[in-house]
Amino acid sequence: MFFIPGFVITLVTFPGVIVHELGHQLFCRYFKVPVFKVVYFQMGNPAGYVLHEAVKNKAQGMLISIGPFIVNTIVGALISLPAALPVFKFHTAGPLDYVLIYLGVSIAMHAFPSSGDANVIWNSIKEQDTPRWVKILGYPVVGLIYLGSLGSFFWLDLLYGIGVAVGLPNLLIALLG
Amino acid sequence: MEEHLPAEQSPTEEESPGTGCANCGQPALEGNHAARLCGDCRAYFIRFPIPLWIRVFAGGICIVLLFSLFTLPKNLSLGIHLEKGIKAGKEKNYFTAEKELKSVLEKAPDNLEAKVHLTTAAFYNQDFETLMTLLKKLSKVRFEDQELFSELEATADKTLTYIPNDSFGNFTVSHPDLAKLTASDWEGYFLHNPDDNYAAIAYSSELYDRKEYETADSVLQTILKRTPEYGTALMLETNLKREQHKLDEAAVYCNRMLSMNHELPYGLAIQSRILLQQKKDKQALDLALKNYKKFDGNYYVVSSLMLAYHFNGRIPERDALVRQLQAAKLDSLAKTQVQYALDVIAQKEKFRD
Repeated sequence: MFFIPGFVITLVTFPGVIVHELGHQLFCRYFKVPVFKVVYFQMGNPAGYVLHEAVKNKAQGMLISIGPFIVNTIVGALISLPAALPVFKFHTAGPLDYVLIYLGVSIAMHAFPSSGDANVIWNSIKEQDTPRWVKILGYPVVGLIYLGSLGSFFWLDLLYGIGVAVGLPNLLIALLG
Repeated sequence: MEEHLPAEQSPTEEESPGTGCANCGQPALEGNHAARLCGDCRAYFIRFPIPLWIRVFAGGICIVLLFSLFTLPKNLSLGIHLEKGIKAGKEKNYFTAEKELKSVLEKAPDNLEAKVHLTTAAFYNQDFETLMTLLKKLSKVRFEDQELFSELEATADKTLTYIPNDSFGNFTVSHPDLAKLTASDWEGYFLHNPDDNYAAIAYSSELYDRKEYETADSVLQTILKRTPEYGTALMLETNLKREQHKLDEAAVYCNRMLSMNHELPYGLAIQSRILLQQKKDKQALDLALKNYKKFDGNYYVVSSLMLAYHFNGRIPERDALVRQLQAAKLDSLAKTQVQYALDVIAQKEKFRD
């Protein structure tokens, strides 16, 4: 397996980290949860974080934790959209297309919530006042996040990023064709 | 990553411990929340400001994105044409496939996928000009996609059987007038070249021209046993059976041709002529009209429609087509095809019983 230190990957794909934290922040804003501090990027572990008030509504709390999955996937797909076909299908890409693909893949790569996010969900669903349906959803979500983290050792996040970059234009072509 | 801090550990609480707002000290708190904040401070922290450099970064991405969006409609359109071309090829609608793939290559001339699939479509459309041009270009390309390479290789192998090989080339040099060759001359050639389909077609064409239909049929059957999908053999068999008035058998061979390419103009036109010969005039006209909508530039199709109009008593439409064809600039093959139809109409040629 091709091993590159994590901090190098994070440095190279820093746009994804920024959008990941922005994803948490935007979901906090949407659910009116006060945010006290945001570190969009730092050389360290974690590469970024958002400090916010403890969330009473457990479902909202879970959505805040997995917000980056939604935000990074959508933003990554949209940014890659005009560039994916020239780069991957027609080989007619210019410099701007490669910039967009780099941004799109970097952003989509960081869609997976981190193990830190998984811990937050885990601690939240363990509490007694958490509704049952949130627990039923929450446990598998935590499991998936940990699997995703493990998968990153095997470049699962990169594969996901590329899949998102290529997936949307191919879906559009299949629907319109 | 996100973290939520218990109220007593929130940054604001550290700055301003006590019973009032943890941020500004105001006594009036809002709601029953984990963090002790007044209304204004809660509103501020809910809308925690996004720094300027992030906004500039996002703005930069948006500008790059805007520039690239200009090319998105063109690329999506290309992608759709490519998808349609590949899908049409899989469904054996090779006329549509060729049209779609050519439109891709106009805008993206280096697209390998389109070129390979177009090669296949051109083969089945008997568009040998396009086919040979592409095969020549693609022979210099290094393929990474094994599936694409296999498709190209299969088409190239099939194409070779439609081109005279060196042996036949030498044979025609020593026997320039094939019409004068005897059966034993041909047998001598096939003794050393038993699998030469191209030569066998040349021989069966000579026999057909001499109206030696039984012998021609026998040669064609040998080809088809060896290569069941040999298009030229199927076409000759169709015409041969028509000449022998074995119209049901002609229809079988015509259908075999069309099963390889559902949109072969010549095959579809012959199908309508067979129906006319079987006196299924209405069916023939419906088919001929359908073909004409798609292949109005193909003179065999047009003259088939002319015949269909004639046998259906649609004289004004027939005559309009006659005028159209007489005004058109026709090559020698088209002239022959049109003239035959005109001779049938003038009853100089017998078309059916």
